[in-house]
Amino acid sequence: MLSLYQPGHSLLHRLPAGAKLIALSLFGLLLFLTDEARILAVAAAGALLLLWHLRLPLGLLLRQLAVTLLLLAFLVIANGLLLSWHEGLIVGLRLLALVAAGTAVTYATRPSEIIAALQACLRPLGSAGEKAAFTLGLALALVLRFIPEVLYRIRELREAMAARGIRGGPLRLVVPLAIRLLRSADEVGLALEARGYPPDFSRPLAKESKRQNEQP
Amino acid sequence: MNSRDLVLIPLFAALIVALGIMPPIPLGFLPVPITLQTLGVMLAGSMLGPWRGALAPALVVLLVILGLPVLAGGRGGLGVLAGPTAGFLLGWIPGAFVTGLIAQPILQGNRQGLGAFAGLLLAALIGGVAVVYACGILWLALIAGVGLGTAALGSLAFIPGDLIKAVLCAAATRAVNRVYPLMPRSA
Repeated sequence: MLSLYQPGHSLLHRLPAGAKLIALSLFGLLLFLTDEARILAVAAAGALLLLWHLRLPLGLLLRQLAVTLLLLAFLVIANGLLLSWHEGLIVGLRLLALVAAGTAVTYATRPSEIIAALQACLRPLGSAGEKAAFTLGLALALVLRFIPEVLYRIRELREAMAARGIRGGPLRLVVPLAIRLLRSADEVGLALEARGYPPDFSRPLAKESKRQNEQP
Repeated sequence: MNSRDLVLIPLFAALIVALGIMPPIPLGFLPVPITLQTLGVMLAGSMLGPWRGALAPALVVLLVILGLPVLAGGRGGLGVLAGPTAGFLLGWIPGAFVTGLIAQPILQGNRQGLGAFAGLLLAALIGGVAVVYACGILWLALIAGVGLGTAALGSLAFIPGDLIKAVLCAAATRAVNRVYPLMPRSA
C-alpha cells in the first residue's frame, strides 16, 4: 500500500518527524484555547500557506480533502443558521487550520520516520519498552503484508462463488473469509515461533552484541 | 500476547482496511451507499474478544497517523484525525472493545440458536453502533460547536447501514463459532 507521503525538499520535509508531531499537537490544542476570529484566521492562513508551500498537485489535495471540505461547509452553514454566523466563522477557520496543518504534515513526512519517532518514545522504558517497540514494528509490517492477502482472498471467494453460480451477499462472503483468516493466523503464528519469536528482550538483541564483538 | 495473537490482530486490522477498499454497496432503500469498513470493526470485537478486538482498529488508527490511505475512499493522514469525523474513527477502538466484552461470554457459553444470535446482535449494536456513534457525535459537537442534537441528527443517515452491518456481524460470528470455536472454553 502506497502512503500519502509526497517526496520533496521543503522546510517541512526536512524537519524531524517527532518535532512535527509535537508541533501539530500543540497547534491543535492552542486552536481550542481561543475564540478570537482574527487569531484563528491567522492560524488558518498559516496552515494553508504551509500546505501550499509543499507544492502538491491540486487534484491530489482535492481528492483527499473533498469529503472533509464538504462537511466543513455544512458545519459552517449549520452553525450560522442555528447559532450565529460569527460562531460559524470561528468553527470553520479552526477546522480549516486543523485539517490543513494535519494534511501538510502527512504529505511531508515518511511513514517510516513516524514509526521511528514512536518507537523512540518507547525505547527509554527499558526491556518492556524495547519489547513494545519491536512488537509495534512487527505488527505494522504484518498489517501491510496482510492487506493485499485479504483482498486476494476476497477476490478468490467471489470467483469461486461466481463459478458455482452463487449470487454472493456479504454474509456468504464474510463467513468463509473469517474462517480462512483465522486458519492462516494459526499457520503464520507457528511460522513466527519457528523463526524464534518472541525474542529474549532482557538481553541485547543478537545484532547489536555481534557488532560490539567486531570492534577491537 | 502469544504469537497467534500477534498475527490475529494485524490480520483483522487488514480486514478492516480491505473492507474499506472494496467498492461501497449501494442499497436501494438507503440514501447513502454503505462501506463495510465498520463491519470489520464489529467482527474484530466479536471474533477476537475485547482486548485483541480493540487493538485491531487501534492498529488501523495508527496506520492513519502514519499517513496511509487506509480509510474508505482512500482517505487517511493526520488531516482526517484532526477533522470533524475523527470521533467516529477513534470510537472504533472502544466500540470493538465493548462488542467483545458482551460477545465473549456468549461465545463461551452453551447457548445455541436464536438466543446466541440475539446476544451477539446486541453486542454489535451496543459496541459497534452505540459506542461508535456516541464518540463520533460527542467529537463532532465538541469540535464543530453544533449542539449534540444537531450532530446526532446529521449522523442519522448512516444508522440504517450500520444496523444491517450489526445483523451481518452477529450472523457471521455465530456461523463461524460453530465451525471454528473462537474463544477458549475455560478462559
